[in-house]
Amino acid sequence: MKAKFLFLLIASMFAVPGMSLAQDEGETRVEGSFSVGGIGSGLTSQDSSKASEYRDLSDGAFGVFEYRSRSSRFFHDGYGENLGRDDMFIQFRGGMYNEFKYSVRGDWLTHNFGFGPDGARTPYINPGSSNLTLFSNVPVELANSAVSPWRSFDYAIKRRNIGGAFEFSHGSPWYFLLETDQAKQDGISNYAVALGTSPGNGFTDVLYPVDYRTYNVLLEGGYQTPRGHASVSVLQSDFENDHTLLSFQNPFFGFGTDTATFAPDNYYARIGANGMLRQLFWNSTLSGRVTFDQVTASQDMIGAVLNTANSDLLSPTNPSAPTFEGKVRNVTATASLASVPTRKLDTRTYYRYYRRSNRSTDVVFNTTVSGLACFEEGTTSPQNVNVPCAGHFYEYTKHNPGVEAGYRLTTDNRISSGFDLLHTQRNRFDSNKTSESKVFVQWSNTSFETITARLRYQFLNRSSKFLIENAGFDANSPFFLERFVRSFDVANVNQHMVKAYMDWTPVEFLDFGLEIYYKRNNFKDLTLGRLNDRRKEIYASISYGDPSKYRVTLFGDVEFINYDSFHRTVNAGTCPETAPNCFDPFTPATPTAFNWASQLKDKNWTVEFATEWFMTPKLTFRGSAIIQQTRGSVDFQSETLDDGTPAAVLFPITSYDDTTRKSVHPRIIYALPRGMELTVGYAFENYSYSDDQYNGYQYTIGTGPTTSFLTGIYAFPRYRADIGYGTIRYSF
Amino acid sequence: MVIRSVLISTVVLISFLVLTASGEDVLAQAEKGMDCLRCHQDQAGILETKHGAGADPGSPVGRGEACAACHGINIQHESNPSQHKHPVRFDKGAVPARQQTEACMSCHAGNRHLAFWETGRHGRNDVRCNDCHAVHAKPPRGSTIAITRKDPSTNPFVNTERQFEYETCITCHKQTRVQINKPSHHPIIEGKVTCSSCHNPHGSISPGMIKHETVNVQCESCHAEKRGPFLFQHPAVEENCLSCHAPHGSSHAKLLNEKVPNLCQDCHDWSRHPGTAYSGDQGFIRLGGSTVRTPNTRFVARSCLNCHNAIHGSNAPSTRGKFLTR
Repeated sequence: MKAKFLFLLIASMFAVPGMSLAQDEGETRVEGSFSVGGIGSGLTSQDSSKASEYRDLSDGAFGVFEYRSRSSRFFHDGYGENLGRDDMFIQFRGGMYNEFKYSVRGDWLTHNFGFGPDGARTPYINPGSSNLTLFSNVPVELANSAVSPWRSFDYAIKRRNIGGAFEFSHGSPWYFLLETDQAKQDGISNYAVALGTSPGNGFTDVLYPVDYRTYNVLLEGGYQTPRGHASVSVLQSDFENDHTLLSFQNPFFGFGTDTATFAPDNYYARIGANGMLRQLFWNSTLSGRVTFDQVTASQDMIGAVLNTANSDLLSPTNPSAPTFEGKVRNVTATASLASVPTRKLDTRTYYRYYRRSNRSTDVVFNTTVSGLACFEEGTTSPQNVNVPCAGHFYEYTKHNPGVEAGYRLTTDNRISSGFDLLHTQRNRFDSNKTSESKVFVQWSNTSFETITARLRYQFLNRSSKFLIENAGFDANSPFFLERFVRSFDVANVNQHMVKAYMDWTPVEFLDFGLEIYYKRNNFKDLTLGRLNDRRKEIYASISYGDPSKYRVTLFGDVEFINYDSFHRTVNAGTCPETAPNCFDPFTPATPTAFNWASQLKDKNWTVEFATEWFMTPKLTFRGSAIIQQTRGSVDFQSETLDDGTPAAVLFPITSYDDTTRKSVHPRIIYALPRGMELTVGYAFENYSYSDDQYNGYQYTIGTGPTTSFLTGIYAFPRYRADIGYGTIRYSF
Repeated sequence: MVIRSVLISTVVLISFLVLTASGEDVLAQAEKGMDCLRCHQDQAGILETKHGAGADPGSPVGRGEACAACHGINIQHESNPSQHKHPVRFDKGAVPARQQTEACMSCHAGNRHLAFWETGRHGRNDVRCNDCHAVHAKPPRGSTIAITRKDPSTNPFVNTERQFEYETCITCHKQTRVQINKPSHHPIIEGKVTCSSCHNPHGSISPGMIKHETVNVQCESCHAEKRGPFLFQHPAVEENCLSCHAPHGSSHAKLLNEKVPNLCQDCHDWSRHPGTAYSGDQGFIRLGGSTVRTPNTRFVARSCLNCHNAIHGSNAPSTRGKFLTR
């Protein structure tokens, strides 16, 4: 509240002198409006956070203002809405023609994820603290039926962006720009941690206090003319986090104090240069950009951690350096030549270069104690070998040349085609080189007054070099599985994409819209992982009416998304003697080692309607309605045993983020005498949710030291909202 | 709430009183050279725009060219309008898109925001300036320029009087219209993030017309806590946020492309829990015929993220960091 009020005071003071300057000219035209209103809402929900995810629906008053002023030398605009509320927005802009421009802006955003007491609650007695303490009598008396004494909290982040810009050109091609802003985030966020060192040891949701601040300052200077443009910019962005460590009591480790780490402060600096030259040979435009950036961060390493079940004893981690000094640098360079050599032909040739290098401290944790040690594949036997854990520093170099050409069959009837090659070299354990080739052909037509149409086909081929084809000592080593797995972000793939688009206006005030989208990824040369994914979407719309009298619009969209994948389950770290080579997916299935397949399906559709009707010169009606549905499911197939029975009975997932949203929002606007205007509106929303991961939700799972503790996050998004509001506006 | 709103509003009102203390109508000056309005009265909105700002010596009206600055001159037009059209018209199909754009660029080519117009996809795909800019319309509340909004807004309730930028972009980007309204979305329909927060509609030299040089730099300009650098990194994260996230909207929490654990398992297969089939009987609700009697902590709630929450990188020691569990 204090910050909002101060900002408004400062911003108003900033604006008023500017206006006074303008008034000195003696020919100032000012217009604007001022509104006051009220909002009241009734929310029916166990946890109403989804209803107000990004909106402040609390009962109360709000204000809106706007002004515009113009004189022979100055212009000033101001706008603010939801004054005093959590989603307030204020902006002032203005300047002196051909001399300078300024802007000041404040934007408040709340992002709500979970509200207590019936939704978000925790067994830690001090949510919001960076040192969480459990109830003294956990876990025995914290069975699911006894969660009511848990502490309530709101999983909510408030973000406030305040910034401004000043651009000075003095009527010349030269310009100088200063932009600065501060983003501040406060609140409580939900995190989760494994309690022990095995998933069987349970987990707990913990809450960490968010207190982020990001300060950005951009300086840019350049020269701009119709013929060319050149600029140099320097950006400094500092991120500060007041809570980089979270301490919490861990019941699995004898209620000892455990620690989770969070993003440390980081400092990002970027230098960039842009350039462009027009009117070159073949009516060409040459564009280019070079950037260099560096991000650094520093965090002290934790020297000892809990590692013994039912004990609060600490084990040393023996880091090779007391502090991790992170330093990542990126260099990019891009050049593009767009040409129009003839009236019918246009081309574009480009090249992009990216280089990411990592010069961070290489920290190794010199311990081979079980639970703290990483492991590698054995060189003399299939048994894994405990080794010290070491960081991994990702680096890559990318080269991305491409060429496109378009040919006009008629003036606005154009076919185009292009080829794009992306070659990536990276230091990654599974694949160090990837090459992607992409070609497209497109036909577009804007030559008719009634139709705009576009049809595009794109084919992409990706081919990677893999480093894991000989992983694992033999098929009794878990690492052997890696020979058969391909991560979908580097896996060899053929991708087909078709997109058709049309806008058609057969008669005045009647518009049809259509878009059809199809994309399929066929992953190749793999046994385990994602086999293919498909996305099909059809969108259609119809709109009718003279916008100055009335207008209605209706659109619908249906979307099908599929992911097919193939996996192997081995419920053991080593193969039993009776079933050797269990990590080879081509060995016969056993009850503990078998292959399985899944087909994930998302089916989504939406129908939305809106109208705007100027009923009389004074009375306007606006309304909108939405029905939207998402449905997800997964089907499974298990490999069969020798006797023909499935190795495992796998039940389908029938609800996977199933949602239905219904929304109606009518309002009337009535023009009163003397520049006054009255708006009255009502909104109804109903949101239902079903998901097999949350249905029948419990706040605890299991018993004893391995009990998992949950906080209700994302479990109860269902809501019904009735929102009424009214505003009265005075325009001058 | 009421008191603080009134307090804040009072401050604004005081500002208004100062601002409105004087104010002479200069419409007459702005109308200099606007003879065309005698017939084209429906285009009088131009006087409310930057182009019609007679006070601005750089505007078409301010420098006395008025309508001819954009439409050109045809001296026979007045005597026989239907036979003698103006050289440059902005109706779709009447004049080639490129020629319409050139009319705008004759003044605006020196604007640094248009430096990459020719290399951007809009420019190369015959998108005209007036497809997005309502050149003759009065700017809506909260904006200094008017952008087109072809149809009434289907937006659910948001307490605003602003016309949001996305309502222009979705005219062509139809699927995006649906995506930004999905259960998990950036606050675009709430007016807190705009399309131009990430994209430069006037042309960009980056793929997807994003403003920054890479997707990750773009995302981290707001999500600064994800920059790291971290000791233990997740390669897929470091290279491209879009491997896992759909920035325009998703059915799944956190803008994920696919539901977890399936998303994770499409890369991670290993002994024990990474390769295990998490089927429908492992939730909180017991299913008939299932041998599973307790919820599976690797499936329920946030699944893999119940333990591996530091998915964007970690500085925790040893296995805690390596497996992204702290």
